[in-house]
Amino acid sequence: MKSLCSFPTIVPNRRHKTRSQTALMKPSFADLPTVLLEIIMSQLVLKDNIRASAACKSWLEAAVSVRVVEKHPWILYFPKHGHLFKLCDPLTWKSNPLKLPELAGSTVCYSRDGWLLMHRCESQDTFFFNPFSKELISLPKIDLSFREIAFSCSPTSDDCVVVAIHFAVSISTCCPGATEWFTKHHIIFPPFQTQSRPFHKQSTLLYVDDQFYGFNEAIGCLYSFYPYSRRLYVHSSACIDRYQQSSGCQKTVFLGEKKGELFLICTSGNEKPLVFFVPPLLNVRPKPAVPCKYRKICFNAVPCDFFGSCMYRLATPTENARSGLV
Amino acid sequence: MSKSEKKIVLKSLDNEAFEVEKAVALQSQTIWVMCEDKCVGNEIPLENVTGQILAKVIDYCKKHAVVDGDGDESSEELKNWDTEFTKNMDQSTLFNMILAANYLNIKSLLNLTCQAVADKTKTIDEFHTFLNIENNFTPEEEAQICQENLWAFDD
Repeated sequence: MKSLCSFPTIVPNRRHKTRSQTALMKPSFADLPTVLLEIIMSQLVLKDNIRASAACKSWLEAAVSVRVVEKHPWILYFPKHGHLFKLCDPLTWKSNPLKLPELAGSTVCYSRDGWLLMHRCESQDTFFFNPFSKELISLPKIDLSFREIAFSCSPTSDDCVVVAIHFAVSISTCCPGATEWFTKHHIIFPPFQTQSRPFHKQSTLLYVDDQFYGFNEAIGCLYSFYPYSRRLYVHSSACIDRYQQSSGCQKTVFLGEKKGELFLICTSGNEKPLVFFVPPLLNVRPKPAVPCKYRKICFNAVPCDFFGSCMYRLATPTENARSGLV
Repeated sequence: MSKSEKKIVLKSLDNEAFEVEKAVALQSQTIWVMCEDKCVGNEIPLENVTGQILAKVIDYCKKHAVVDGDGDESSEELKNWDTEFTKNMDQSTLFNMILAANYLNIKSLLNLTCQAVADKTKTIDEFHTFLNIENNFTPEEEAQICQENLWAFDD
C-alpha cells in the first residue's frame, strides 16, 4: 500500500490572501456556461427537466437542448374512479399523477405524437386530447359506429387525417376542423365479398408512410387504405396459412411498426404474445415469440407514439385499470 | 524514482501552493496533459482556481485516489462520502467547484457537483433562493412554457 503525503501542504509562499471578488458574492447558476448547464440538465428526468426549463432563459435553452423525449411509449393509466390519471414511463415505472376531468367517461381509441384520440360512448363524441398540454380538439359526430379508428399525425398539423373503419364495408375519413365525416362504401373487394361484416374481426389500425394498415382476422390478410385517394388495397393472402397455423384459441391482434417494418402481434390470455414479422408486404411468417416482457415491444420510432389499445392491453396484462399509451 | 518525483505542486490563482502526490493530481485530465507534455516543471499554475476551491478539489481527488489505489473502501462508502462532500457545500462553493471540475477536467467530480445542482432543482422556489436564478421570462413566455407541458407542473 502506498503511503500518502499529508496534505494539503501549504507551501509558505502565499503573497496575497485576497480571494477573488466573485467567490465572495453569491453567484447565479443561470450564469454557468451552456455546456455545464447541459450536464446538469441531462441528470434530470423528463418531468424535472421541464420544470427546470421554467427557471430562466439560459436554463430553458440548456434544458431543451438535452431533452430526450423517450422513444418508447408511455402509459396512461385510467382511474377506476375520479379523474386522477397516472402517466407512467414503463422503463422506470415512475409515474406522474394527472388530473384530467376532460376524459371522464371516454376511452382511448388511438394515440400518436403525444395525442390521444378519445371516444365517449354515451354522447358518441370523438375528440383529440393532449395529456401533456391538455389541449382538446373536437371532431364532428360520426353517424355509423366504428370498429377501429386512427389518425395520421398530430391534429395541429395540416396533414392530419382520421380514418374510421366500420363493421360493414365502409370507411370514413375526417380532418380536425372539418364539419362532417366523409364515408365511402367499398363494395368491389374480392376477399371481403364472402363476409357480411368484413371488418368485424379486425386488428388495430396503424398509420405508416401515408397509409393506414389493418389486418383482417376473418380472412387473414393485410390491407391498406390511402386516405387521400380513399382507396383500399389488399396486400396478400399468403399470410392466411401462416396466421391460421398458429391460431388456436381466441386472439387479439395488433399491428405494430418499427423502422418501416410491420409486425403482427397476437395475444391470447396469459400466453406469450406471438410476433409475426411482415416482410415488405408479401406474406407473414412467424418470428420467435418475444421473450416474456411485454413492455419490450415498443415499435414506434416517433417520440411518444403508441399503438392504440394494442399497447394498452399488452402493457397491462395484470392491471385492472384501463390504460392507454401516449 | 525518487520520492520528490512522485510529488507535484499545484499553485492556485491566489498563489496558494499545494504539494500532492502525482497519482492524486493526475485524476485531473488537464494536469495529466500538462505533465505528459512536460510543458511545466514540478509546479503547475492553475489560473482559474482559488486556493479555497483547490483544497476541496484535492480532498476529493485524494479520497478517490485512495479507493482506486487499494480498494480498501467499498464503493458504497465512497458514495456516502461523495454525498456528504456536496451536502453542506454553500452555493458559491458548489458553483466554483463545478467550474473547477470542468477546468481541471475531472469527470467524476463534475458529474457529482452537477448532480448536486440537479438535486436542488426539484422545487421552483430553490431556483430563486439557493441557485440565485432570476426569472427573466415575460409572463407570456412563462405561461407558454407551462402551458405546453402542463402535466409536468401538476402536483
